[in-house]
Amino acid sequence: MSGNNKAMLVVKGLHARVGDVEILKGIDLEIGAGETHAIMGPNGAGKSTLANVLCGRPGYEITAGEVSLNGKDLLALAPHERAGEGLFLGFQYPVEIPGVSNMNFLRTALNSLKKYRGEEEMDAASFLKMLRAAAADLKMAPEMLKRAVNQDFSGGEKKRNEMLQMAVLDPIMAVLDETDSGLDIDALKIVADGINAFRGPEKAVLLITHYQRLLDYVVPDQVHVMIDGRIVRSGDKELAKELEEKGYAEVA
Amino acid sequence: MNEKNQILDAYDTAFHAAAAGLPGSGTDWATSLRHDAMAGFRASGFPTRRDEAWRYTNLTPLQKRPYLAATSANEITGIERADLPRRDMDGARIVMVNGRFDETLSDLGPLDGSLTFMSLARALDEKPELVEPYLVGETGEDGIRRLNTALMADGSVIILPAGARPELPLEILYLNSAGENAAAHIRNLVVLEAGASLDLIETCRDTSGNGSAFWSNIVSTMVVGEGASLNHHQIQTIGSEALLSAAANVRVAEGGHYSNFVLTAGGLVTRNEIHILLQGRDAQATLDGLCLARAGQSLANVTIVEHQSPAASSKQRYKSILQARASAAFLGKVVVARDAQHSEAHQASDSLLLGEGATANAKPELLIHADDVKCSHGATVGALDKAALFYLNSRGLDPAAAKEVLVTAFAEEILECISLAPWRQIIRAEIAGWMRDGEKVSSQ
Ligand SMILES: Nc1ncnc2c1ncn2[C@@H]1O[C@H](COP(=O)(O)OP(=O)(O)OP(=O)(O)O)[C@@H](O)[C@H]1O
Ligand SMILES: [Mg+2]
Repeated sequence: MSGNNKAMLVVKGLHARVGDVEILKGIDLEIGAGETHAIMGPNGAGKSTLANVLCGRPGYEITAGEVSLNGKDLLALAPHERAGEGLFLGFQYPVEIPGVSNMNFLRTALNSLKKYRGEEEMDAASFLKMLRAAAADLKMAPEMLKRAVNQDFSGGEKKRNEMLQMAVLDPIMAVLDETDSGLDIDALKIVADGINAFRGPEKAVLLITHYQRLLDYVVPDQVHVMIDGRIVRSGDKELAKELEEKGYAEVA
Repeated sequence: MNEKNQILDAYDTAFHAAAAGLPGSGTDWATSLRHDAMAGFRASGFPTRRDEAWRYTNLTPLQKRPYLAATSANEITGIERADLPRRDMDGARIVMVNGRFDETLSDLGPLDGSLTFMSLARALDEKPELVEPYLVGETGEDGIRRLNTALMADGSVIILPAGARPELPLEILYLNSAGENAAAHIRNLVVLEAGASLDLIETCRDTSGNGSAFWSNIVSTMVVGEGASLNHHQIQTIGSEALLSAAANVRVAEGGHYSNFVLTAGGLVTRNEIHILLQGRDAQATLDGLCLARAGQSLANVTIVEHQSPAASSKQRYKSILQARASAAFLGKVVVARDAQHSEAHQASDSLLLGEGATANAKPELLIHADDVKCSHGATVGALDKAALFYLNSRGLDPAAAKEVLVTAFAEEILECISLAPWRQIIRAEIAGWMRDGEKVSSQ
């Protein structure tokens, strides 16, 4: 299934370090338009580091490698420009922002993206309508939109809020870092439906997860196993099942 | 020492030359009040940084040269109506130019019929008995206030009789157009009798654009009667070379409420001091302030709240936002007297440092002599949350926009408590303007 589609996200020989410690030790990854890939791997393997480096989080030094999205060199861009190019990161640990309402935050974000793309801003009424619909799809109470971003949200609510942002900002490439962690069974289903609704021929998804369960709902085209900063195996969705049964040590 | 004496002499000489022409010179008590104050000033001089309460105020400009009262001789630009800052609120406006009431620029039409307004100069000359009870003996507790008493040339006398509750706010606007090292000594008197209420706005601005080293020295006496309520709003955005010392002495009677919101953003030196006596049972004070500081400025909010009666309450919340290398101070002293039982006193100060080398000084001081009280204080100093900045960037906000969102959120908490809605909008616009200018400065 893979390799036939137009490449969207291309990562080549990516090395990254924090201080003196090398964390990514040569990552190669290619995700085509319309594809969903999953990365699994033990704690501390470097999965979140990869997600952060893709999105340009400060604090990492990239010592070698290339990253492009639809042919555009991402490493040359600031984080907000990468977002402008259509990249989205669902955070493993979403950040609380006291004093900023979820609604205003999303509106400012969407209009920033539109400005970057030279598009017209969305008026308040249409935005609100769109936001309410997106929240309803995720079964989020309307009052969550008025509350400060992620402040005092439960773990599961934070993850759902990440999905709301993805739905509203409508990126082309979504990197979802453990968006399934901390969700109850019903919420997992809702989030999975959200991801499936997002998928499309011009979109790509990279799921970082520890659990086979998400992959039952959101069936990946490829599964990669990351250990100690490297992708040590790639395969189809059966690989996730194998991991579940045998554990990382044996599979790798 | 020599320099210091020369400067004090210059004030002394100017005072004696001007005394006969100062308002109230025909009244004995006023004349002796001024002379006593001048003698006191001559003896004490200006405060110094060795005085704990003045440690964070840059007094160097005052110690280097005399700032003499603005006269027509050193006035360099006239101010026209068109130069006045836009009004974003209804209500009457009293305009003081170089420390003197300017009737033609003022807008007294909307003045509420229940309220008495008179310029201090006129009151001293024509109705001294009106102001006498509030001025006699009040020479001032420091050199700067003594100088104010000796040289006060004008100000606003505002009196609300019992039960008067004008709907619209009343603004006092201070403008300067005089040249280098001129000064204005302004004395205000605001009296709210029982059950009265007033929204009072004081705006200190630089509209001349000449950025001259002008010193505004404003002392206000405010009396909040039984069950009365005074909402005092201040904007202090004077020019970059200007100095402002503002001091309010407030007395609150039983069940009265004094609230203050101050935005301190301009000037080489701005020092805003509020000294409150909660004299009656259930008297309340609510003090909020936002201070926006840039490098080179010396900005300080100083509060003294004395709980003198049972069940009085005070709540203070001051925030400051500092650009690189800026410094700002909050000194808050709370005194709870022995028989002020069941008092509640809360104080918080939070500072946000936006750049390298910024320093926020917070000095709470609690002197509690009663045993059954609820008191708290807390101070925080921090930089912008890096994780939050990245979160916003990752959603498409550029670094300047992300910073503005977080700074606004920090300030917003304190703006929420402003009761006058248009005023909240004005403050928001000031913050946004300050942020934009801050970007310009730091990107140069
Ligand atoms: N800023 C940092 N400073 C020091 N070490 C770091 C930093 N960021 C990541 N690391 C280290 O890099 C390694 C990889 O961390 P990362 O968060 O990428 O792992 P992960 O695969 O996402 O793990 P998990 O499954 O637990 O989320 C860990 O050993 C972590 O301690
Ligand atoms: Mg992780």
